[in-house]
Amino acid sequence: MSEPELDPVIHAQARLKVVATLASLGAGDRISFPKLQKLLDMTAGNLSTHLRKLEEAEYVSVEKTFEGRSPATFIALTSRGRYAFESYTAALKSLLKGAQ
Amino acid sequence: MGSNGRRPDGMDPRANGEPANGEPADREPANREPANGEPANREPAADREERDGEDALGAGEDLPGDPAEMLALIRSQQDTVRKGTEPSGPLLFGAWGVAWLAGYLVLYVSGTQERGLPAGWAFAVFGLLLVSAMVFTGVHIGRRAVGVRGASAAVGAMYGWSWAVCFAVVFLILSGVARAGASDEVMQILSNSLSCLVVAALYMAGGALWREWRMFALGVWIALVAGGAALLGPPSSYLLMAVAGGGGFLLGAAAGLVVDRRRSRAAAETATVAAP
Repeated sequence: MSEPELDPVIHAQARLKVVATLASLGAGDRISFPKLQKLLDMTAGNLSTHLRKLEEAEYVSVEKTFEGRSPATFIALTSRGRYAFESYTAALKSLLKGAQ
Repeated sequence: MGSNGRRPDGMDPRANGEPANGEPADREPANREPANGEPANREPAADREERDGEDALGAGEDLPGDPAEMLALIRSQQDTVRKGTEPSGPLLFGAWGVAWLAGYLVLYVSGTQERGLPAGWAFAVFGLLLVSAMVFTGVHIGRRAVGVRGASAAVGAMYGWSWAVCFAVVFLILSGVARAGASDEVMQILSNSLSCLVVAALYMAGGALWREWRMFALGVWIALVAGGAALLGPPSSYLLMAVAGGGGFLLGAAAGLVVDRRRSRAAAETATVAAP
């Protein structure tokens, strides 16, 4: 049996943290950019870069909106992203089992 | 996903003598590493993906660890999100436990001295304590919930409005009963019973909504204590409310603290396993 492949999009600490954060929210929830940044303890530029990559892979959706008059950005995990995260977690667990 | 013959990069690089930063010794010379000054700090997985060269990453941030490390990373991040977005049960139960214990004790002491109706100042202290706990609850939940929108925010808003509507109606009922000529004793029993019934029912509903067993159990307990207090009558009912009601909240807070500590200890253990 071959070892499971690990999704290269999220097999990187920073992007895994982003996806794990979004997956911890309820399905159908979205989070503001500043709040996400605070939970991840990342710089805004860094987080934007990772979000762009995740958006290219269609793992997250980024929604630009307005809160009153000031612009706000909300980020959510897509169902594709949630599936990728769950598959990745399952692959990690089976790799760990194989290593024991 | 690419199948270029290399092992999935999740395997522990240290296991085969490679440096711990995940950089394999046999790095392909053909990788299109942009000249941004940090070529030695990339995860191999991304090598086969397109490089756009625009990611300015902190040192080591983009490296994969071994599976245990990555699992520990997921767990600790889930813990961070829980603490950053969900209200803390122990903190809220603790605040209400203190408010009930102190507030009802004041009513009891004043009520026994006055042989019946507690003094106005006692009700003022009681009210002040409850309002303080309410403000604390609102600020705490608001801080944790800010920045998250969608389904769970809608659930939270409906739940919050349920409290406001129910207590507004309790006030209307009490006004009506007072106008119909209810005695002080009836008003004391009814105001406490109705308020506690709302608290109990909404705690049970909240427990069901968020599958929080401690919250549900507290709701059941408060309902029973309030029923007992109604039968007992004032001022002894206030002693029961202080000890059993306030004590119940504090017990719930203590149980929550124990569970939280056990959970973070488990997370620390996985982290130790991941990074011996």
